[in-house]
Amino acid sequence: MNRRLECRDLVKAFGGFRAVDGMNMTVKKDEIRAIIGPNGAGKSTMFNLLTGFYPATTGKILYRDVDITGTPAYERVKMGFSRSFQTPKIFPELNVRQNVFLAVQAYHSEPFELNVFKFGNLDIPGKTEELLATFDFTRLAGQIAGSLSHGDQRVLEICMAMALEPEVLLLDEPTSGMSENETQKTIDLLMRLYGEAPLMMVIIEHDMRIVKRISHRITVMHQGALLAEGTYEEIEGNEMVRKAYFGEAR
Amino acid sequence: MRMYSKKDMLWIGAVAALFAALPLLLPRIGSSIPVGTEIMIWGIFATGYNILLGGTGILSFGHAAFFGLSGYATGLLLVRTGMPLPAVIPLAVAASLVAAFLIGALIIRKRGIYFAMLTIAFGQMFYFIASQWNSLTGGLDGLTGFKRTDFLGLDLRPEDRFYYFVLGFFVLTLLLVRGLMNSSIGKTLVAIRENIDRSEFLGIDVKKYQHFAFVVSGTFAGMAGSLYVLLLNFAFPELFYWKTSGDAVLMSVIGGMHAFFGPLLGAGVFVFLRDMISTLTPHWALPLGAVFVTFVLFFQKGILGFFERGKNG
Repeated sequence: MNRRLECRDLVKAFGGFRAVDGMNMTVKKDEIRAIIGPNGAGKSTMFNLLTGFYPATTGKILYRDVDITGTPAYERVKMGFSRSFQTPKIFPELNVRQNVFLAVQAYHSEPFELNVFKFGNLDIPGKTEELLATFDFTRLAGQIAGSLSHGDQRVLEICMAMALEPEVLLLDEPTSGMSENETQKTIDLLMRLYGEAPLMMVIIEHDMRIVKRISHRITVMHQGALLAEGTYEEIEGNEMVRKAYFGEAR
Repeated sequence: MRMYSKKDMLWIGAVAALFAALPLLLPRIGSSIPVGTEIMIWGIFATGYNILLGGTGILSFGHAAFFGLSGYATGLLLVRTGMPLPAVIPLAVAASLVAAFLIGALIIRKRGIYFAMLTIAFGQMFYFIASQWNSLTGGLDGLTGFKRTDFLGLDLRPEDRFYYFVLGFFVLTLLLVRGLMNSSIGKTLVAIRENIDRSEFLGIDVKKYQHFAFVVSGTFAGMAGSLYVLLLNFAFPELFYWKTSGDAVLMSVIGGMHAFFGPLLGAGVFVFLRDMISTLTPHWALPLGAVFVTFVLFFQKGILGFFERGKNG
């Protein structure tokens, strides 16, 4: 089977405004793809279409050659999608351990499966502790998630996204609002996890150093459409991109 | 993973023991046994309702529909068919379950305030049917002409007997709701309350779980409604009125909707205060409203939530 994520002529219109306007993109198995572009280029909307958070106005989304354009978000998750949001979406009144536990439980149980007595032969609390350790949360496990620092909330969300053992991980500006130190740690961790078990990653990122370090290919969006696609070197040398993006960024 | 922790069993046991002893106490403090019965019935309603409000984060003003429907079904079955209670109560509760399933299926896709408004609309629809359809329901005068008799040979006519009969349902409700909230399903409901979007992106079919919570809480409302009508030997249109749903909200807020025993404590405070104040003035709703406002303004987490915060802080 072809583990490829593809969108064709994708459009999302809000009233008369076309936030995504005829976008085409193909991401290969185990590829790390960065999506860059100026503010308002439609990057987050694109994410919301790919993950099923918004329905597409027109166009098609395919995964493993299956048309998933109309597939609801939770079913895409069951197909292997997982994501983070620009503003972390976590369970703010529960503690860190409960947050991760719920993610592990959601991944390992069928809908309405009653796991009151035991969780089959799956050790959900054990898996939870494993993840907490991987993401360096063991010390903070008892803390209420809403009281964590912004950076830690972001990492917690990534931890919950990884609990689903995804095939496709979409991260919306994973390091924004993080300190230099936190950013390094988070990127190191992501790369380590990728090294252990490669997966497709699509990342919206503003920091070009991170883009350079982690991505295999880069998609540049501008005004809702594809401006350019290529390796870091190709994009860096692209005159149109310089004008639209690097020009203002530098 | 156990269904109940030791602490759960201890607390539920303690509450059961307290209510078992209450009939000895109530007459001595100027109250009566039926007040205790009523506290348990509202406790069933509020504890079940809180699966939806505190557990899943959904506000419904329509659960009076299920409370009243089961109540009227109980009365009508007794008046029209003369069926015995062991058949009447399950049938009446089943009617609420089916109604909650159907109404829930229609409206669960709406979010927030739109959902709450639709629940009011459906509840009021039942109210108008009950108050207008004179030949079936007795209209505004209510439905009379039946008396609770016996349940499998157990005579329920004396108030103290009926009290202990209700106590059985009450303890069953506490065990069922606690068990549900401890289970993976209950944890999923809390996830939905905490963040709908994150829940969806954990692969949870959010609408299905919300619908489930709506139906289960509606079924407990039905259980309470049937017992309430049996307590009074009378069914009347106000059972369906949106204010009846509002009372359940009030109880949850007063007691603390994020604490398991919060709604029950709220029900106790509510019924007891209403009973006390209404002997002094017919305008009992006024001071009770003041209590409600006080809680919303100063004790947003309810009585139990307030103490829990004190403990943790």
